[in-house]
Amino acid sequence: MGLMFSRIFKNIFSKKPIRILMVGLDAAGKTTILYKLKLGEVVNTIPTIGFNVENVEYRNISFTVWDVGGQDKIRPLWRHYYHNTQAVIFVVDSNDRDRIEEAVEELHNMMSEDELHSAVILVFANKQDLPNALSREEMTERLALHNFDNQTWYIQPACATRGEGLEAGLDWLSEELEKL
Amino acid sequence: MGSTFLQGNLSKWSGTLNKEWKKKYVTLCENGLLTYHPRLNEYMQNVNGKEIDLLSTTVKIPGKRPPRAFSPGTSPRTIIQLVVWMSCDMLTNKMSTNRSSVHFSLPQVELWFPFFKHLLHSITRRLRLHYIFELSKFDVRWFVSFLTFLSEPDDAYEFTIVSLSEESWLFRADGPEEQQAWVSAIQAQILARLQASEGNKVKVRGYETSSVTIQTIINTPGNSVCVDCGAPNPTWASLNLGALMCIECCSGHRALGAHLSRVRSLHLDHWPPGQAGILAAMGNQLANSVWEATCSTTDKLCPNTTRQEKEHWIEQKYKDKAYLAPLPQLELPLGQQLAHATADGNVRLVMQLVAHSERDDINATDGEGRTALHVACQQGNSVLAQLLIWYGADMDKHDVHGQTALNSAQLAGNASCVHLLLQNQPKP
Repeated sequence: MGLMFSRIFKNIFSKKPIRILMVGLDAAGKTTILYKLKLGEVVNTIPTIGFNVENVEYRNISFTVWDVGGQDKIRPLWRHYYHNTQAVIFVVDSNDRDRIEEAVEELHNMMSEDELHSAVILVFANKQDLPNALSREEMTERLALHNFDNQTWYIQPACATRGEGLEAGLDWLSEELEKL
Repeated sequence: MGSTFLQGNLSKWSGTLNKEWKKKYVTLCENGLLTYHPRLNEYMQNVNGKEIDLLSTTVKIPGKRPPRAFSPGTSPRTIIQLVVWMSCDMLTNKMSTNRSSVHFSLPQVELWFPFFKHLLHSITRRLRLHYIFELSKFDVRWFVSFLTFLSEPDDAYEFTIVSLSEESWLFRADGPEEQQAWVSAIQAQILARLQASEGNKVKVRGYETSSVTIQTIINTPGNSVCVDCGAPNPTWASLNLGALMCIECCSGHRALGAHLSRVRSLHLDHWPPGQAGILAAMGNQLANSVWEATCSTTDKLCPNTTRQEKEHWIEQKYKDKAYLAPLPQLELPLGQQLAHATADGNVRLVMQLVAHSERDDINATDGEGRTALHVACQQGNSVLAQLLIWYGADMDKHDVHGQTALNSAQLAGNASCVHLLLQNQPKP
């Protein structure tokens, strides 16, 4: 009872939004995901020059989602966002098989940073509607996600333009964040 | 200090002590720094100023949708169905869920706006009212103006600069033109700062893109305008199409998927020598001689076409292949034509043939079990080899002598082909 009360109390009074960093290679679908979550609709986006930031309410949790551009010269900026980040959403284009290696490199470089060692990782294997999309199992292996087994991670196949998989991903994320 | 890009008086919201708007003299410099002083005097004397480094910021207009975003699938000028769903805390007994549905055509919408605005403002002020608008078949431009109309007073031309350290600065301009000028100028400075920064790859992969490389691409025939809409000075590229496009058409290419168009930025991405070489060898003129061969001038896009139409047209051009040059020969198998064109080093014809090809055609073999990729490597033509790989050439195919394309390249002693194949080899 006490635990329940404290949890409710925490939910009501902990106003500080949870800080989420959303990154991935260029054209993975990060901005589309952000605005699908924010507005509930699909907006056609132009490449992100710098970053977008929005507050997203989901199941009574308030998230601040930082969507940082994926172009080569923007990626060094990612590390400026690591501080105080409770969760990382990493978005991968499941259709772009040739650039999976590059995605792996960026993901593993990022997660080796000390500031992120306690962050939970949600991977969206996006663009599942396109031909030749890598499945959840293939992607788990290619991204070597089991290397993160001492952290909390989850991979969710998604199609942002149809809104598929996004809620399932966020459900997992909110459950994990409530445990913290 | 860099030279000044834009300067003038703006109001800045002071949220710390006295919550009020304060006049500031704001200057935006070409080194990407935005400074503000209480008065012009203090700016001249360079005292009491504060500065914002725009490198790690973004600029937003409160209540507005993301920059240049639109919602697809909504056709303008349709009948509107606007459902106002009110659930009112204090009126729960009388009106737990009042769902009223109003149908009306566009010209009348304007007449309803003041009514809704008044209604919602007056009720929300006194009661805790939650309202949801469910919209269908609704022209998004009306939606935006409607929501903006509801959410802010008409004379607030505000914009916010948000930094990644979660600081934000709210400014207010005197009019819409001034607001737009500041927002565009700040966006241009953010872009410039990012372009000037160095990526990880310079360190990790040991190559740096020289401005000469980029200039070679820009100088390629047809590359002074966007390959799709003709807008001047395109800065985005599709690697496999060998073409340059503007940022709006680039969003159409990204929506196609990487299997149809591999998009990179000329100035925000790094360019390995191989990729830059392909762009320089192809270019917009060549690309359109293939992709717009049957397109009449009236069917062409204009720079000022809406983004929605651009995206639709780009899908027709590259996905449905509506204007693609037909196959030059119908009697010879596609794979054989491809091998011949590759042997001749005919870039245009190879582009045309791969556009028609399925993966099986690309990997078709001759009597000796050699694919077009074998031929390209034997010829030492790294441009065609890369193009074939992007269109699905199998690098592991062995010919009757047991040789792969890599072996052919090594035998021919062509370093750039060997390098290319090793780079594209899937890592264990």
